[in-house]
Amino acid sequence: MRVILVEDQALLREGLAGLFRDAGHDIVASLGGCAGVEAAVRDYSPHIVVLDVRLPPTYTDEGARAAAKLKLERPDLGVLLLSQHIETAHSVELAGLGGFGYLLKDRVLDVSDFFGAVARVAQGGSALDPQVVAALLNRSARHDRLAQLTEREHEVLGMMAQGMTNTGIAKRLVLSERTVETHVRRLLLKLDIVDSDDANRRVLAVLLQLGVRPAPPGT
Amino acid sequence: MRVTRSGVVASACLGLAVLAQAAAVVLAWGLRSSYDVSTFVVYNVTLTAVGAFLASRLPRHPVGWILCLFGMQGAVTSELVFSWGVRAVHEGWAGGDAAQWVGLVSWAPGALMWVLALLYTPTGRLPDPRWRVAVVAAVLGTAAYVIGWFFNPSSVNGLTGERNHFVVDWLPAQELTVVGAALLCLSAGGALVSLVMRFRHADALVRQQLKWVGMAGALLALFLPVSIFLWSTSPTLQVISPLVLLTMALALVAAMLRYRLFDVDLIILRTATYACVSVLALAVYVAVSVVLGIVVGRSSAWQVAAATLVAAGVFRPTLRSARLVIDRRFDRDGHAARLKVDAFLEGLRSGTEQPDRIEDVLREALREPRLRLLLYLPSSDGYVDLRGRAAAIDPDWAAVRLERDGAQEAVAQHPDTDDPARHARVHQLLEHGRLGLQVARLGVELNRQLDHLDRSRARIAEAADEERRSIQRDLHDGAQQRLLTVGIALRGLESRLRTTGAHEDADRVDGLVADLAATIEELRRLTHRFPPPQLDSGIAAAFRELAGRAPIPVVVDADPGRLDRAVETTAYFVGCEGLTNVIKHSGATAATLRTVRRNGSLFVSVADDGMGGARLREGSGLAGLADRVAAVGGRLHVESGTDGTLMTAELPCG
Repeated sequence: MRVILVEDQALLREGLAGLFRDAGHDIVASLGGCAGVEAAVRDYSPHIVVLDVRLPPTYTDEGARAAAKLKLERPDLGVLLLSQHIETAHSVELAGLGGFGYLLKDRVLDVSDFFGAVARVAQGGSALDPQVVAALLNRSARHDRLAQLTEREHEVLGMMAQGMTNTGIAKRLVLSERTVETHVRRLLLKLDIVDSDDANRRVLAVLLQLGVRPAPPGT
Repeated sequence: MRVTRSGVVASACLGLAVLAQAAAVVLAWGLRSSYDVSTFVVYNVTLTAVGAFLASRLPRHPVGWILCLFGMQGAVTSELVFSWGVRAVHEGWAGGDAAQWVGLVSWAPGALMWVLALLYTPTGRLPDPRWRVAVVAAVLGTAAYVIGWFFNPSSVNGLTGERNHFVVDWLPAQELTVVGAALLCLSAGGALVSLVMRFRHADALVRQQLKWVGMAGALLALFLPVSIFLWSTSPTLQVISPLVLLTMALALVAAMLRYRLFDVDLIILRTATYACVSVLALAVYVAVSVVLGIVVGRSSAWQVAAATLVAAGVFRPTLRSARLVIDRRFDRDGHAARLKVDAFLEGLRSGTEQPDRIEDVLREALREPRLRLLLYLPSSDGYVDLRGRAAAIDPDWAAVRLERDGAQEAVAQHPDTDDPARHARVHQLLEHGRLGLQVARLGVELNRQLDHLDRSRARIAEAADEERRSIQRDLHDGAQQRLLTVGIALRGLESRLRTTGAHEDADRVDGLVADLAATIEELRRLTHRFPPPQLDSGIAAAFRELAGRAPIPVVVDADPGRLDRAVETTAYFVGCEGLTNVIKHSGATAATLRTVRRNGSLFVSVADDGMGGARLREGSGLAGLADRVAAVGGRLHVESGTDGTLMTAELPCG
C-alpha cells in the first residue's frame, strides 16, 4: 500500500514510518504538517493518508480539518486520523462516508489490530476507536432500543460501530462466525436497522442509531 | 499676599489711629482713669482695624471705609485732641480748653458712623435712591449738633463741670443743637427702618447677611438700655458698653464677608438659647440668695456656695431642654431631620439598622431623593458610593464636604446649586450623622478588602488551572509521545527479533510494549483529572466527554453558550468531581449533568438516583469543591436523600 504520513514530531514520524515499512507498506511521503498534503496526494495517489489531529501552526485540530477536506475532495481516499486523546466532537461524522478511521495514537502498539484497521480504511471501510464507540454508546444510553439489547449484543454492536467485520468480531470474541451473524441479525432487528451486505452502510446505520450525524454532503 | 492700593490706604488709617491712640495714652497718663483710656483705645483701634480689614477685602464697599475713617477720627479727635486738652490744662499750655471742648463733642460723628454704616449694610448701596434724604439728614444733623453744642451757652464740660467758654451770641446755638440732635435721631431711626425694609424685600442671601446685623442689634437693644440706666453706678458697664458696640462692627464684617452665612440661623438660635439659660441661671442664683438671706440671715459663705451650686446644677439640663424646645419651635425641618438621623444612629447601635442605609436616611431627612452620598477612602485616595464602587464628584451638582482636621470624610451632592441655605442644612446634618458615615465608610472599606481577597483567590485558582493545562499539554506532547515512540521502536525490534528466530526475546519485548501501553493509558487517565482540551470548545463539549467516559449512562443537558474561562473550568470541576462522587459512592444507575444560565449566573447541577448521603463536610472532597466554587464568587449546594443526590453550584458569570 502507498501511504502518506503526516505527523509533526519527527521521532514519532520516523517510528511510524518504520512500522509501516516493516509491515510491507510503502511510505510515499512523510510530512511534518498538512501544508503539502493535497499536492502529495495528487502526486502519489496513495491508498491511505495517516494524519495526526494536532498539527502546526496552532496545534488544535488542523489534522482533523485537513482530513475532512481530503475526504470531501476524494471520497475514495482512505484517511486515518490519529489523536493523543479522544474527542467525540471530532470528525466522527466522517466515519459515515467510509474509508475513514479515527484512532488513539497508542493503538499503533497493538500492531496487528492497527494494521487491520489501516487495511479496512484503505479498502473503504471504517475504524473508530473503542473509546469513541464507548462514548457514543454512553451518549445514547437513554435510547430505549439500546436498552433492549443483551450484553453480548451490546458488545457486538460496539465492535460493529468500530468498523469491524463479522469475521473480525468472531475472532475477537472467540465465537463462530455463524453465532456472530445471529447476534448481528437480532440486534439489527431490535434496532430496526435494515441489514445490508455492504459493510459500510451497515456501520453508517449503526452510527446513525448512535446519534452520529452523517457528514453534510458537498461542504 | 498681593498689596493693593486700598489695602495700603486702609493700613495707613489703622497706623494713624494706633499712633494717635498711643499719643493720647502718653498725654493723658495719670490724668484720666485708666479704664476710661483703655476702653477707648480698644474701641477705636478695633473699629479702625475692622474697617481697614473690610476695606481691604471689599474696597468698593463703603461700610469698610466708613468704619475705618470714623474709627480713625475717633482716635484723633475724641482721644488725641481730648487728651492733649487735658494735659494742656494741667500743664497750663495754651488751647487746652478748646481741645477738650472738641474732644467732648466728637462722639457725634461716631453716631453718624453707625447711621451711615447701617444704611449701607449689607449691599453697599442705599436700599433706594430716596434714602439719600436720610444720609443728608444724618450728615446735616451731625454738623448742626456739633456746631450748636460747641457754641451753646448751656453746654457743660462733663469732665470739669465748667460752662461753655466759646459762646457766640449771634448764633442760634440752642436751636441748632436741638434740630441737629433731632435730625440725627430721625436718621438713626430711619437706618433701623431701612434694615427692616431691606429684610422684608431681600433674597435669601441678603437675609442671612442681615441676620448677623440683627443678632448684634438684638444684643445692643438688650444691653444699651441697661447700660444707660446703670451708667454712673458701675464702671464695669462703661468698659463693657464699647465692647458690645464692637460686636456690631464685627457683625457687619461677618455679614459683608458672608462669613458662615448659612450657619447664622443656628448661631443665633444657640446664642439665644445660651442667653436665655444664662439669664435663668442668674435668676435662680439671685432667688436662692435672697431666699436664703431671708431665712438664714445675711451674707454667709455657704449661702453663696449653695446659690452657685443650684444655679450650676440647673444650667446644663435646662440648656438641653431649652435647646430642644427652641429647635422644635424655630428650626422645625432641621429638628425633624436630626431626629431621623438620631433614630438611625440608635438603630445602628442596637444592630437593627444597616450602615449602608445612611444615604436613604439622609435623603429622607433632607427630603431630597436625588441626594448622592460619596465616601472618601484613604486607602484608594478616592471617593466611592455606598456599594464600594468608585465614584466621581459631579461638577454640576452642589458638593457638601465633610472633613475633620483637614482630612476628607464624605461628600453629599444635591442638584440645588442655587440654594446656599440648603448647603448649610446638608452640612449640619452630615456633621450630626458623622458616626453613621464613619461606620458606613468602614463597612465599605471592609467589603472592598473582601472583594479584593475574593478576586485574588479567583486569580490563584485560575493560575492553578493554567498550570494544570500546561502540565497536561506537556504530558500529551512530551512524555506520552516519547513513550509511544519508544514503543514503536520496540515493536520494530520485536519484528526483527522474530525474523532472526529469537522468539523468546521477541516475546519479552512484546511484554515490555504491553507495559508501555498500560503506562500510556495510565498517563491519559491521570490527565483526565485535568480540564480536558474539550473545554476549549465549551462546557457542553467537555461534559459530553465526561459523560462518555462514565461507566453509567449520563445525560448531558448543557447550555451551549461560551463563558469566562475561569467559570467554565470551575463548572467543569463541579461536573467532574460530582460525577466521580456519584460513581464512587452513590451506587446510582444513571446521572444527569446540567447547566442553565439564569439571572447572570451559571447553575451547574449533578443529579443521580443513588442512595444519597452526600454532605458538605469540612475536609471532604465536596468541601474542597465548595472552596473552588467560592473562589469565583459562587456557592455550592447539596441536597441528598434516599432517592438520590442533587448537587448544584451557582457561579456568577456576568
